[in-house]
Amino acid sequence: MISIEDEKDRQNLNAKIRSYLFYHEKRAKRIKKIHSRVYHRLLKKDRLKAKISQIQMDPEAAKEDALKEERQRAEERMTLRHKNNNRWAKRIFKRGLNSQDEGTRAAICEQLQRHDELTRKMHSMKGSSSSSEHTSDEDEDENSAGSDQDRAYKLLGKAKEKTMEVLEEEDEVPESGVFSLPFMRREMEKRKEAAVEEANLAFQEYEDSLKKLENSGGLEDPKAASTSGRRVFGTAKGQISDTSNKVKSDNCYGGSDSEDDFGTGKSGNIENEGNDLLHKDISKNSIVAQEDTSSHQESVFKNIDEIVKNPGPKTTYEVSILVSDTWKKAKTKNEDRTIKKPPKLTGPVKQDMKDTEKEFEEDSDTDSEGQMVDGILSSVSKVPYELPSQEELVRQVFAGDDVEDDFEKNKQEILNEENPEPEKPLSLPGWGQWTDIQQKKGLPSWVLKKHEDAQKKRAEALKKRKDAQLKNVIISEKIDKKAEKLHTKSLPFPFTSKEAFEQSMRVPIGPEFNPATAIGPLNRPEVVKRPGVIIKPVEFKEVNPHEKQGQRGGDKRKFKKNKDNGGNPMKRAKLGGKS
Amino acid sequence: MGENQENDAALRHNKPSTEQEISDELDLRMKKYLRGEGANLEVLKDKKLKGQLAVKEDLYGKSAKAAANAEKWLMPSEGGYLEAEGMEKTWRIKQEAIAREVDISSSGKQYDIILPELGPYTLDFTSSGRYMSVGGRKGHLGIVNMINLSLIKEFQVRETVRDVVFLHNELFFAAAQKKYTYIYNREGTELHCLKEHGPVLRLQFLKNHFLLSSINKFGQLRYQDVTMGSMVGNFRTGLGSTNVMQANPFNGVVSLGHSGGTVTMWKPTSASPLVKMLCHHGPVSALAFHANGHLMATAGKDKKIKLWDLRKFEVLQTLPGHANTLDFSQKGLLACGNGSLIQVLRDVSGTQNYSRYMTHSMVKGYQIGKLVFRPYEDVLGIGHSMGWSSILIPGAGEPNFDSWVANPFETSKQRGEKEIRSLLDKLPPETIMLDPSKIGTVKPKKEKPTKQEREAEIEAAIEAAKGMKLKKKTKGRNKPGKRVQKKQEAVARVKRPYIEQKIQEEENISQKKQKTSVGVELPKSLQRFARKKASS
Repeated sequence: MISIEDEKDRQNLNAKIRSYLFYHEKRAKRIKKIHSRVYHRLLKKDRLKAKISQIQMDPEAAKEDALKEERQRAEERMTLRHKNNNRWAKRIFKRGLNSQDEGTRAAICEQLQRHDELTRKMHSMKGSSSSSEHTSDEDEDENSAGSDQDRAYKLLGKAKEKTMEVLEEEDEVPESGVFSLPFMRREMEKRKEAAVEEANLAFQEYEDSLKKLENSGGLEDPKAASTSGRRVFGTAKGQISDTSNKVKSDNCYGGSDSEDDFGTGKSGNIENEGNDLLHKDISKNSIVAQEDTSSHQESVFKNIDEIVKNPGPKTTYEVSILVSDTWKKAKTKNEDRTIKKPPKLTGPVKQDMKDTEKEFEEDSDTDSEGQMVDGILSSVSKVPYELPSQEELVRQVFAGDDVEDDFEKNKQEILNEENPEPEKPLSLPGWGQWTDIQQKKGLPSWVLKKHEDAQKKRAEALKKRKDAQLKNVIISEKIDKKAEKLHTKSLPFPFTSKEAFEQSMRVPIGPEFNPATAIGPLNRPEVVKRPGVIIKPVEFKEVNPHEKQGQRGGDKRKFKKNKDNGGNPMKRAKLGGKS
Repeated sequence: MGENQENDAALRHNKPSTEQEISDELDLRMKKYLRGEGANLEVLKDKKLKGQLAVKEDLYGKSAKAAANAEKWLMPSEGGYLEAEGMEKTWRIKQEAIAREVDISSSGKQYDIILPELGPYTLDFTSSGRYMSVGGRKGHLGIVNMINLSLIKEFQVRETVRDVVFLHNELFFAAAQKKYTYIYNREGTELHCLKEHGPVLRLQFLKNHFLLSSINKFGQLRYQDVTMGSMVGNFRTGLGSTNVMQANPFNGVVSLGHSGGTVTMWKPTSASPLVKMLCHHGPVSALAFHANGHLMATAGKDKKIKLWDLRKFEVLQTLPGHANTLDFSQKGLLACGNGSLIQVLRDVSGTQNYSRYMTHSMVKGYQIGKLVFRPYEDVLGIGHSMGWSSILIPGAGEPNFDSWVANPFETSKQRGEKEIRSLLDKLPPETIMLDPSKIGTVKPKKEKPTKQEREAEIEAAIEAAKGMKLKKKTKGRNKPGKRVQKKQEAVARVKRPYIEQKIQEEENISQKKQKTSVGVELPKSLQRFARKKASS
């Protein structure tokens, strides 16, 4: 059952879509009708820009774009539309290209160029984006692996050279200085021996891996050669390529970036002997695996079996070593050396957040450690003191480096908030732009003047602030509305100057602040009645509150006086004059 | 108040002998109670006001004199302090040496209580200094009567306790525990669980406002009225969590020390800090306020202890050294604790120039967590990782107590009376401001230029317009008549904005008047008291 509301919703949605389409159509029509070349040129430019930026922004769009290009290329190759075999081109060639005018020749040229562009062999999308590899399809993986093998060759060669160099270099012994001392020399020799050993090992490794590469590359090489230049679309060959390689590459992906250390350790310092043994194992294994290409799965299983046989820690190493030996190395080399950069110094705030967090952790630790049995702690837990690491020390040392800058920024922000900067005068589009003269003149002078005045005002206000002279202090000038009621709104009547009033208020008159002898006179009411005197209640009388003062009460005399002086009539006259 | 201190210092040194000197001394004391100069009455034009004010000033004088006399005769005890002779240094004097010299009751105030199991301890005293609450990190809470050193109540909450603080008297205290803050009474009964505060790191109680303020792990500052239970303020500091918090006893402004080296001051009625100042180049590790509210001490991880003048927000003095905890005594001694070493600084000359006064080192390995001076005693309470201790610091406490303010020998009846009185005198939260002496004064206005200034401005503008040179125009436009006309126009143009402004103001005033007159019709019986229509 469809409820009425659903139906209505659906209708609404449809109507919306329809109207949207309609407007879109209309708009397209209108735009199409515009004949201005300039407009279209600009439009095109915009579109291109947007596209490029979009491609740069998200990988999805890039992928789509690539697909589109592929399709275009295929179409072009199928139809050869731009290869001078349409009627217009044929006609021109029939007449002879030389007899044509410049424009036509240029047009023909352009067409040819377009064809070239469209049918150009595609090198791109191979190793260009390493990030996309994670998501890309299998065949692409294989492909890249193939090309990477080439690179691996080169790299291994390079590594070999480097190690040789290192070995040769170490023969030099300084004649003087600290290093010439006997014990230093002994130590150096020892070290050298170790290094040579290590280098030899590394050498072996390189050779092994080279062999392995040759083995595995034997099958692949021709294919790699044939496909290196072009893109392969949906080939059946991909399945033939050995899966051991695939597994390997997959492993490499799984291994992720944590193996950077191995990649960067060029001269083989990092690998130690234990690893080497293991490595040999694995390389053999992989060779075995590559030998029987017909039964890929078996090999894979074998591989896995081997892994299972190996003790725990070794298995974890496997991936990383493979990575370090083969093409992953190329990756790390190609990439920027950002990894090597020292860890960035984080702001002091963050660091201290960490510190405090640590403290909290300690809290929780102590909570959990002290197991309470019937309200008595069973064990005294002591937090062991840990020496702060080098990084932490560095952070602590440089913690205060940009504190001042931060504070200054903060102050500026608060100042901007409390005394906002005047808006910059903006030219309204179409306003004052009728003629060239107007445009040249720029904004009208009064606008500029207003802006300037506002800026001056702001500068003055900033100068008047309490914290204007204090660099490291921000004093809020916000008015607290709740506290406003604690101030008098205006000066009470007889006072004319603020100072006199405030000085008369300076002494508290309460019993907490004065001796008992002084409280009485300080707080004496204006009218004092003797005890026992009857105070009559106020009688109710009809009174006109807006009546003039003179006709009531004690003010009478005053009024009369005024009258005698002739003051009041004057005032009245004045009033009359005003109104 | 700075003056007062100077006076006090002067008083201490002067021993009156003749009558002249006695009267001088009285004058000095009177000056304190007069609280500044009176208004200059000669300038006043209103004779009636002049007379009234003169009478008032006379009364003030009398009151001050009475107070000075009372102070002289009713507050006989003078605060002492260590004095070094010759090569002696006050900071070389050990606690043992002091113990040998003082009477038995005072020497009983030196003790260490070793409780190694329940972690670092934090302390708090009641305002009279008679009771102390202790909180062990691992959940040990207790109240101690400091006069006979008897434990009133001790219990285990089986949770982390980060801070304890007494409310207005010893009957209630709040403990910041692992997850929530709790309020217990003296018997250890849980009265309230303040869940809204969250995992609180530090607590402060504002006695005059009855506000319990807390800072929690998320850097949120909260104020809760403990009389009605309403949450008065809840602000995000936005500067990370901190456990450095101290209320200024003078004005109730709560200060927080942050990891960026900044100190912020807060009041419960505004969401942004009143003052934010960069005090250190490293995290702020401790904060303390002098009782007069003008002096603040901060310690940072950048190995500096700074003393600040809060009237000018300037550094008075920078001392080297770390401090995990700071506290000012009633007489203005500053205690700094770092590791297992305590340093007490003293303002010797009364010029706020602090120098080393005493030192004390705990047993090695004891980490000092909190230092609190005991009010009205020359005692410094130390909460450390192995329990708590107390040492004698001569000259720390106020020698004379005012039983209206705080009475160390209070009976339960007096306590009840005082509770009621203080509740009646409870200050609303909006009275917390940087300068509370501004309460009752005229509302600060946006400064308007005075009439004269405005006139001068107009005149200057007119002059400028008149002095403007006119272009030499061709033909008929350059006639003298036209030139004059143009100048007149220019002057009029300049004048115009001022005139418009004036008109606007007048309109505003007239509108306001109309409003007030139309306003609310008073009931008939009250109409006779209505403000009369302005006759002039």
